[in-house]
Amino acid sequence: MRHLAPEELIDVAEGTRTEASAPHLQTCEACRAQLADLRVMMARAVEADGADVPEPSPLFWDHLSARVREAVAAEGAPPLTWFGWLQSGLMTPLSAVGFAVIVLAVAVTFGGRHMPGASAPSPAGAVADIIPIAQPGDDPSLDMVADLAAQVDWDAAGDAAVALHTHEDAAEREATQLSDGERRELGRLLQKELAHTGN
Amino acid sequence: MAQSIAWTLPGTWQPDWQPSAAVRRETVNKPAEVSFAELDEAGLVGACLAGHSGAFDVIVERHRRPVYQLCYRFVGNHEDASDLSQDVFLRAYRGLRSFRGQSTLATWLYRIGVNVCLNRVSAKAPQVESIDERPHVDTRLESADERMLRDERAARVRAAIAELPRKQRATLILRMYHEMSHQEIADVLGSSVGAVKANFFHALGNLKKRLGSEVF
Repeated sequence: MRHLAPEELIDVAEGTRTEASAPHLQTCEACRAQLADLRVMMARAVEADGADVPEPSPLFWDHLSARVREAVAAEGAPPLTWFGWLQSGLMTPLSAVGFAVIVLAVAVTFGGRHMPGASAPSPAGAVADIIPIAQPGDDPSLDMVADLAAQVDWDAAGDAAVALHTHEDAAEREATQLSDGERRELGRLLQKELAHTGN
Repeated sequence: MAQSIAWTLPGTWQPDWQPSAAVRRETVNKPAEVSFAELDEAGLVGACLAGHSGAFDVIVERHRRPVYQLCYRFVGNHEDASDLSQDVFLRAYRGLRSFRGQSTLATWLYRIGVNVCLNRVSAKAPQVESIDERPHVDTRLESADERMLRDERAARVRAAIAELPRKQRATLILRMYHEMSHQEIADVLGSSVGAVKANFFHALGNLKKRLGSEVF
């Protein structure tokens, strides 16, 4: 004989399930007693609340709103989360600049090595050899960097950088608050863009 | 308190969810001047995030009563309930960007409220107002003895509720006094419907144990 589970007893006590749908109740004294206790305690709990919570003075509500308003004013704008920061307009000019820098670094590091006719890098260092060789128009990734740089609104980027500077350590703080899903998404976006460069 | 401040949503901000068609019309096709009081939840949150603090006033105005009542039921006195209500809204303002519109603003505020209240009551024993300070109930049909008996019993039940384990207490308050569905309570407490029903069952059982036969 299986007694009714707590969830089933609650459903019957609240009336969302009829007693007829639980035939076990008709034969089990223990379950019937539990059901009766639940109903009594629910009635007592309702009664204990009285008519309602005491209604404060009508002035209280405006006073509460004013207190919250003052506290909010002292807070300033709602703080940006990392995800919101990525989505905000603030990020747009900076992301273009940052993306251009990443692409440039990738192009400089890997691009020249596969260029037709490129000479072997010197033992002293690849960068010095590659940069003079890669001319605009020779490498599609450099064309893309040039296009991106042309699209950047440098004034807006400067303003955004100033705005960001006012939130000291904001980026670092937000980076530590990335969820796993946000990290995965950021990684996916970066990989997608890197793959798009053809390297 | 009607808001009459005119504003327009800036084109640069995009909410995490889609605002209503009315808001989209106003913000995309025709940046019209609208009153905060006419906005839906998504519009109000968007306006707050865009720096219009007046929109948050409307959020407070719409939700202050249930938030205050929730706090009162946890702490049992006006002063603490008032302070906690302010705290709930301030925390909501700070975390507004994390509100994704996946639940209603009310459910989200309840979630903050329950956390704030549980943190407070675990740090401080509730100071329940005396019977004389409780709301007046029409008792014209009751005798003086009956009224006194009922008031005493209600006081004992409130004291027993205050001693329940945290989740059981939150579940009972949200279910019995705020008439929230099991699913809504599960959203607020971050648990399942089954767990909410089990918590409710155990809350009522513990209430009976604490009160013994005195309430029957």
